[in-house]
Amino acid sequence: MSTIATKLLGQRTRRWRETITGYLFTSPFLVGFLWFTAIPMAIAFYLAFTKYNIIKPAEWVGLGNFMRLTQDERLRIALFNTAFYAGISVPLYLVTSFLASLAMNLKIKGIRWYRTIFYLPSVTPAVASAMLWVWIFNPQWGMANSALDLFGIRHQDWLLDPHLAKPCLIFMGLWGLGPTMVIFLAGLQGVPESLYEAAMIDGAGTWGRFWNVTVPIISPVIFFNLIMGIIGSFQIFTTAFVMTAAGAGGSRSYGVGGIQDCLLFYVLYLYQQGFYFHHMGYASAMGWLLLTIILILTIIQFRLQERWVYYEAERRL
Amino acid sequence: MKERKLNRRDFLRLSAAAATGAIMAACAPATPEVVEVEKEVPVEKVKKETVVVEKEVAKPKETIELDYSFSFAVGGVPDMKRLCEVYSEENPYVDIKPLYIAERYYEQLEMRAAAGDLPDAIYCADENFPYYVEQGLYRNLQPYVEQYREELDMDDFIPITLKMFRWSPEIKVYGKGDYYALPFSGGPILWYYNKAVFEDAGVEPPPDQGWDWDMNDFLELCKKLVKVDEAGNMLRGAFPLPGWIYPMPFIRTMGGRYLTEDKKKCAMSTPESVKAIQFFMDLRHKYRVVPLSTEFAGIGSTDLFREGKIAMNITGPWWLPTLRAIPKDVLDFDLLHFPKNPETGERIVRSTYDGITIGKGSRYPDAAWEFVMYIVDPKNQPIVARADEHSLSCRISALESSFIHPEERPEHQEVFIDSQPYWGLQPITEYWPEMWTIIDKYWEKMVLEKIQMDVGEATAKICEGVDYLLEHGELPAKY
Repeated sequence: MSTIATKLLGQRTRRWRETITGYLFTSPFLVGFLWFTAIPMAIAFYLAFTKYNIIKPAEWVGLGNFMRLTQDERLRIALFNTAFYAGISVPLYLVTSFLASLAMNLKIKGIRWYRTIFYLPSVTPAVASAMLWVWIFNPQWGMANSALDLFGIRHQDWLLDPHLAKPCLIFMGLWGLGPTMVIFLAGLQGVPESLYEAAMIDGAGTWGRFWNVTVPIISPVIFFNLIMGIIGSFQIFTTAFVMTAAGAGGSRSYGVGGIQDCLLFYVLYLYQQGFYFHHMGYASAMGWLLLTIILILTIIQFRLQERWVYYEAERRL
Repeated sequence: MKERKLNRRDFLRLSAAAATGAIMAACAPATPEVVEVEKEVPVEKVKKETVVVEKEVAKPKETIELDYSFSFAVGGVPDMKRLCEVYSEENPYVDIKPLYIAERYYEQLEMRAAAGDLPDAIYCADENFPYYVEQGLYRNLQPYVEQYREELDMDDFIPITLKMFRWSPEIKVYGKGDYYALPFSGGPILWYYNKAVFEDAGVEPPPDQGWDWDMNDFLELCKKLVKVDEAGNMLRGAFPLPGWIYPMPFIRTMGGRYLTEDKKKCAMSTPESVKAIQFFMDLRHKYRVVPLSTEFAGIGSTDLFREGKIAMNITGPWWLPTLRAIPKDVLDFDLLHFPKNPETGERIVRSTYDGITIGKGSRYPDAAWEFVMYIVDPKNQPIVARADEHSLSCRISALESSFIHPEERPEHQEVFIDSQPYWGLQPITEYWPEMWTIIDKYWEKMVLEKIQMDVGEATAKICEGVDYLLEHGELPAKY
């Protein structure tokens, strides 16, 4: 065998070994992804075309579940509630957490304490904070009505009022703005001082520097938070589930969604269909519809980002 | 032997392989969240001599293991566990493995059924019993009941409790057909009252714990118990407004029904039912004896009762362990019968029991049946019923011995036993959760002050939905 051929064989063997090593190192993720995400997703896709209740074998119904999706009145309610929640909460959380991060970016004494305090509610378990807010919004003894007393405004029923329940939940969400704020803060701290100095030389004031330097530089961070916010808001579950486990009509062992379904969010309804009514096939179809909705919204956002998100690296190219 | 040095690459390769192996090992079939009950807890009350399994059975050559799944308040677990232990001691060829499932019991059962690993003996509730029979989780016990009728002493069961576990797959009617389980403990829902509140309101409980009182007496009593401030805010209500199934005694007593006699159609929109439901709604909207949805919101009924915010509460014996845990100087309470219909003199209350059955697919159904007989045996019933949240036994002969404890509150515990003649079956169908969802939606509309749907209109909507459900086996698209 020639020396070149031996070298080539050696190289191929080494490359093969490296490939194997690479797969071995990535295998924890690959196994986890396949086992806990890809395979369940594929099964859920199949189940979406079946009638399945866990106990009995799945029965093929073709597009039956998807046809039912178009006729289901409660699905429409759940979609409306979720869209309402996402439409208001996402921009509100973005603006609020951005403002909070600007405040947390100030170079003042004790700023680390302030940052910790602002982040603290985010580490509170969702169930505990939901219970806390249930008490705050208690119509008879809650702090929310006590606050209204200070302004001479009459008491509200808050979560027990179908018109106020969703705004209450949106307001509650502000409690957990910590993680978004921290991401914004990291983005703000990455803005080069030199750009501010250059803007100042060009005569830019505080607003000018903010609008023409800060916002464009951190626009990828805003974009990231926007995408994550939309995905998260469409998946709202825990707080709504905890807060609506018992309705005004009394015990609601099988009911979720608050007074007259005013807090029936999409995933909550999906859960009810799957685990209360044992309609796993229908719930799977709902899951795929949700994925499609989120995917479309994300694609739209990615298209729109070309107009407003500034990527330094791309410009340099 | 030539020594080989482990270089960094080999080390990393070995580590990666080990990590992969560990992950694969961790991916073993998921076991349900089942807590196997510990075996060391001693329970004095359980005595070996209480165990009765006298039948001649064909003893297997080897010891067999039987899984027994159950789920009720954790306080009763040691007693139940001990009972299983005693059974295993008495029957060396059988080892009972108690599986206490604290939360999401039926989800766990479903998973086990899907995996072909149902427990041999299964605790079951009456409400979802038809659904699980239809899904093939429970074994038909009719052949066993026929064969062992004498030993079981069927006449000793409270008759209505036996109906709770009968199902006819052919005509799909609850309360008739074959036995798919046997009852073991439960009870009716009746009135608990806070003695201090009655005293404060200056009212006396009705004579004979209300054995002869009627709805008019009840309403007058409620009016006296209510306390409001100058602004009209309720400081104390007569009782909290329960969800749709708890008012069953009001509806049935006042002549209404949820379902027709054959349980094939909704009957809530009949004139009699509308009148009965209207009577119940009037307690809130017209007479204001129960709190509004916003009054005392977010406070559990136990706290409301203990703090005297409500004078009475309608629920079953399963509330007793909670109330008994509160010191007598903080809360003293007693029981009242449900009031009669003033015109007909009749009354019906909701009664509900837990049962025990054999899992379909059990490898040892005969041995599991022996265990079922042991659980429902009158001699073991005092332990079983007590373990199941101080409930009532299913056995007539064991009712008093299992339930009456003179050293404990309330004073008139016999009210629960004496109420037997007016116990009623729940409107159970194969589609209990779905039916619940439909009724709950319109029940809320009738109950909520701000929505206040007319009872006639709401019940018509309910029946539209329930009739569709019972006919098609699925929720209507619009409800």
